[in-house]
Amino acid sequence: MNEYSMPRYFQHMEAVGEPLFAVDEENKELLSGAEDALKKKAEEILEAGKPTADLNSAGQLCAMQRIEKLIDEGTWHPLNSLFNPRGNPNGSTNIVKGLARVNGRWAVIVASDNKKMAGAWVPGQAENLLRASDTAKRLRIPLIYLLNCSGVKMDEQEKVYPDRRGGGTPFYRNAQLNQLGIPVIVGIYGTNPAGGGYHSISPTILVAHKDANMAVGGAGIVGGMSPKGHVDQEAAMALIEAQKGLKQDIPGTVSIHHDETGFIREVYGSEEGVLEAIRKYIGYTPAFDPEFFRVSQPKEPAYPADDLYSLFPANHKRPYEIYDVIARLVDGSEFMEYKKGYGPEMVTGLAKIDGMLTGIVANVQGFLLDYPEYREDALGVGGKLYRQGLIKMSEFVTLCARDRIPMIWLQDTSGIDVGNEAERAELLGLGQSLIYSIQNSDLPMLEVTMRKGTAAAHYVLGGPQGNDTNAFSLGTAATEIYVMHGETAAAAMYARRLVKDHAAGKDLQPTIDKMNRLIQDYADKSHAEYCATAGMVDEIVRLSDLRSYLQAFTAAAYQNPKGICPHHQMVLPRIIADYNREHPVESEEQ
Amino acid sequence: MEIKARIPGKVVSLNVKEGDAVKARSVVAVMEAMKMEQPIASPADGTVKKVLVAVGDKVKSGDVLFVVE
Repeated sequence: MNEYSMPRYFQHMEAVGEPLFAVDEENKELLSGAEDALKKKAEEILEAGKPTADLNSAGQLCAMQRIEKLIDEGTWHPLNSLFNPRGNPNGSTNIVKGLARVNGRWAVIVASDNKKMAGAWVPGQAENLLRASDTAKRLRIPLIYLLNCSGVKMDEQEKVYPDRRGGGTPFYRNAQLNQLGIPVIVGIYGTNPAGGGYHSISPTILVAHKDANMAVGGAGIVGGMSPKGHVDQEAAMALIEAQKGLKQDIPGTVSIHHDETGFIREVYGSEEGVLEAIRKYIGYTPAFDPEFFRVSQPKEPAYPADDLYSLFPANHKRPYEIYDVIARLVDGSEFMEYKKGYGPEMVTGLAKIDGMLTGIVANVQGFLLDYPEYREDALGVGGKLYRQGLIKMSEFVTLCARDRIPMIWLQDTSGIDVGNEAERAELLGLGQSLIYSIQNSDLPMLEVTMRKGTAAAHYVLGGPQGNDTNAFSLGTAATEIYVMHGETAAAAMYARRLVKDHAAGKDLQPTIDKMNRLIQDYADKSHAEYCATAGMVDEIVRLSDLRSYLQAFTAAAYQNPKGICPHHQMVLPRIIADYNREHPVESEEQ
Repeated sequence: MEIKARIPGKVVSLNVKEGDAVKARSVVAVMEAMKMEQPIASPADGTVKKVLVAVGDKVKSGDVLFVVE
């Protein structure tokens, strides 16, 4: 039997949330219908290209089949499955990416999508690859490539090959991961010229299939240097001859790069052999047993995740009880809240995910009476950020950093309070202070935009803009991300025009039409699917799968952490316990 | 027992009429303020004796909306 440190703090935290009062069929239908549509879209993108049966009959597995054979069953957590920021016609950036456990260890997996142009580099792929290395770096977990990359898509090279965050940047990132002691392991399949060659060579350990090759340049380049600047009959005939010769001498086969250079550590005759070897090498990498960091036995939440479909409204005008949401995500629905009542627009506190501590920060929804304190006759609105909430979050982040506790943000925000009272209350400075606290924390963080991500509040609430802290970010079918609501934007842009035209006796309709077009444009470019395609979130997740992603994040964050705070040396739980003793919360009248 | 408005705002829907039975936590009305909705729940089981507002009414914080027995 296991025993845990500091049981009086961590074993029995306060239970939060209430049983579901009533099933909301309409809301359930709305949310799960939208989730189903997004899942269907992701499946279509995955299926696009060469049929899997054709690959299989040619003796190849497709990317998803390779992944399934590589990982521990049931641990696949796709990321960026709808990501296509440059509008590629097949809906994909030609890689399949996600988090999964491999031989008992969490890893980031990137598989070339060999159903699509033999895994060619296409616009947007580099950004997707950089996100994979961001996640591996932040969580300090191995990065695995299942590589099958035919190199740059020739007729779009200007969008793919160059640039600061372009095709070559992942090779520097692999070097950086190696510097940080984070292993990068590649299984090489098929033909991998040029870019594909560097994807092959830049990892830590190379394992290859017997028919794979990797090279500085592909056969086409070796044969295709025409000095004339154009192609004529003579040049075409020369190319035909050169190609015949190359068929017999493909650059960079395993006979060169295993038998001669020795770059490739192992070669396997079967696709499965390569995957088995990767599992073996992952087994050699450092990983704590989760039990090392646990403060309690893992427990399921006290309430079913399915309740979320009723208590979490898709309609953004409707409030919900954030404790009821937390109660469906964390172990035993237990939550140790930091400074409850101070900064009432935010909830901050410790919870357990699979028995490991996480710091949770979430927006409160609904109205806040007589708040904020800096405004007379105030009526605060949940989702907005005010002075106390910003200060509380900065304190909480700083204490989590001190105690080395990974953080999860449940964001649903309409922005930071505005107006001169807000300016006098220092909100501009306090918003940036929170950014400073997050950057200073050097903690792994997961951000979920539950519904709204708006204005700078989206940045300060653990958003993906924190490149050094945010491991990845998620959304739900109800997610909407924009600088402000479309109606607010239309008013901001056109209010003066309306005044002018009205004074001049002009027809207002043309301006009204423009305003409505802008509002529609905001709606079209902020909904969940758009956010996922553009990369504003890394995945839209079903509400019923949210806990599973939280578990993957937490387990990955504790697998090989950069720093450890011994449980008995943590200060945050003591501060919470003492604060609660001094400030007993009176039960609020409904 | 009186059910009062907690916030100043507009009544956007009424879900009960006089004589209806209500359960604790059931939503009897919805108010709106600052583009956000505020559901009004009955604090206890009972019967609606009086409905003192109509849809569209503007109310102040503390105004009595319903009497429930």
